[in-house]
Amino acid sequence: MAEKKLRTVEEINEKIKKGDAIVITADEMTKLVEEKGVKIAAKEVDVVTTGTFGAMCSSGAIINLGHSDPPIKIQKAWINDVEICHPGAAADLYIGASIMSETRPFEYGGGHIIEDLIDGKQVELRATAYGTDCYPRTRIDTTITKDDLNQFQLLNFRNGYQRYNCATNGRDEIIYTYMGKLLPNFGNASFSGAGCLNPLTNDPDYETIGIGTRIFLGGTQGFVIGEGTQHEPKSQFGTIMVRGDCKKMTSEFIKGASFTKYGTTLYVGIGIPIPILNEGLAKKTGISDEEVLTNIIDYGVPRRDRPILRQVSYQELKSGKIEIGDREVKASPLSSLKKAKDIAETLKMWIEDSSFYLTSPVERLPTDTEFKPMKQTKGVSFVDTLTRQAVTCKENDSIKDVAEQIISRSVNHIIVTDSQGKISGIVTSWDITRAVASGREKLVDIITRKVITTTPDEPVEAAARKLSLHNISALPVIDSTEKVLGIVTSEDISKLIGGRNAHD
Amino acid sequence: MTRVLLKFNENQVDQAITSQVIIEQGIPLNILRAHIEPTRGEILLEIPQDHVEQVVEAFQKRKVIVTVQKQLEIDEKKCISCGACYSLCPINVISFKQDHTVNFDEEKCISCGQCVDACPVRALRI
Ligand code: SF4
Ligand code: SF4
Repeated sequence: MAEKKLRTVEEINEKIKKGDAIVITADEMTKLVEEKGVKIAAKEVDVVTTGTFGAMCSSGAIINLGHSDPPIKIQKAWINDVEICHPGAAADLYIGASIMSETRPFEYGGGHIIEDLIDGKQVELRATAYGTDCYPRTRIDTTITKDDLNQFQLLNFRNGYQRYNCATNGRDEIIYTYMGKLLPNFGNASFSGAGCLNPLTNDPDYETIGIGTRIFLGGTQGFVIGEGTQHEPKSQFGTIMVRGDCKKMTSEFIKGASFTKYGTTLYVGIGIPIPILNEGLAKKTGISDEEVLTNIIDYGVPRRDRPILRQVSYQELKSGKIEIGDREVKASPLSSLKKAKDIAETLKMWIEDSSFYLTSPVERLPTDTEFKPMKQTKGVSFVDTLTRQAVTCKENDSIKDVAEQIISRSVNHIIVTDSQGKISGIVTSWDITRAVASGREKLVDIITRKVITTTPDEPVEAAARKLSLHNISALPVIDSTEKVLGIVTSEDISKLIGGRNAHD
Repeated sequence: MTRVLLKFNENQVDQAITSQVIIEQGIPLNILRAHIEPTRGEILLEIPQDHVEQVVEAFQKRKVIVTVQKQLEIDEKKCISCGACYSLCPINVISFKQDHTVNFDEEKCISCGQCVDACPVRALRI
């Protein structure tokens, strides 16, 4: 970028040292650019501070325990019943934020351990090993606090998404996702990221951000150590990898969290200072919520490529209500806009106090990498490949007729259809057995009306999840008009994808 | 105001029990939520503080199951103002202040519980 330089990072640091640097937060910059224009804003402002505080699952902390006596080469370890990954030598462990407690799953996990340790709390460590000549110990149980650790470093692989999707749910049931609880039939929406305050959004070409960029991280100073995993600059889904000293962090800006029926995670507070080196950066940091765009996505579709409903701006999202179809629904920010602003303000204060100096990146974040989908050696299987012919009956059939069908066709499920072949219920062999035992004769009395169904184009994995969630053993396959096309059974599904979803 | 949940059985759903109690006791009762099916029914009521006992007795006399409803408890120390709860509230109890702090208008809350399991830091309880 051959843009005329207004100032260098070194010059800004000189000003910071003297307490003369002009620092404003990204939302203040938006207003300034609106009021006075890019040229004047660029001249007046040295640094723009940003902030975000959101759930960032690809987070965790490296800890080093030191050596026990006799020493142990840890093979498996748990802290507060959360399994801790053991990526390195004898006493190095990685606490992954999304690993859940074995005794309190979905409520307590790696993220909570990190918060507890930062808070000065004592945690229980348990580890096992196979034992070697130099590391004879095979088991250890002890308690630790952060003061007992040699290193306790936050090391997050993927943080600070440049922008993120807005999630909603087109299914007819509540779903619990990493984007929170989503009501049926597009009943609400949720979004993440802080819009015009968001760090990477203010430097979308990564002119000033890269390896070695000093940032606000969890209430202390940390560093960008490179691009994050899944960094996708071409579609403005850039990410960063960060590191910082947990011993200096505060739980005000690092919080363990639980997403019901999804899992545990860590809320991470990140703020990046953007030096206004040229007019282009003044313009970029002047971005408004109206200009930050993202897509509303239907998370009800359990596929990698979920349908995009439409584009939406952060201005609309932050208003709390968005339009989906012809309806207005509430949209939840999952990341705290309050804390995002607190972070940008804190970072501004640090720079004004001469306690935070800017850095030029050793190497900028890449602008040309791609985010590839997973290579799968087997293609996706869909329900149509497993669909069998269904045995059907009509509502006014007798229980005896249906019982005979069950025996002669050796099936367990009979689908009840109306005159047009549309599904109106289901009867199982168990229902029939019970009816016979209790002397009932009419089929209508024993039909299950609320039937969980599938469609030919649903992936087999999604159908398997329905079976296991509802504890059932077959799904009628229907088309868009509810006409019965056939049936899939848990037996056939487990033959295809392994027994883990088998239920009877 | 105290909130109570009334549970009606199959034989009670088609009777005007709530109106009877209002007329008999001469106390205005505020119905916050009602869910009536052919075989069972539920009504969430608000009773003026001074009359809770007599109203509850009047319902119990008519064999209605009465439970004093737990209120939504917000642990403000835990709350991070993320807003995850906001979009789940069927009425407008949850809102944002100017500085984006989340605010609960607890008076309006009908204790439906939708927001509770949406809170990632478990700051809400019923
Ligand atoms: S309990 Fe229901 S009504 Fe009360 S705040 Fe939560 S969602 Fe709103
Ligand atoms: S979801 Fe919980 S933490 Fe977030 S705003 Fe609501 S009460 Fe506060």
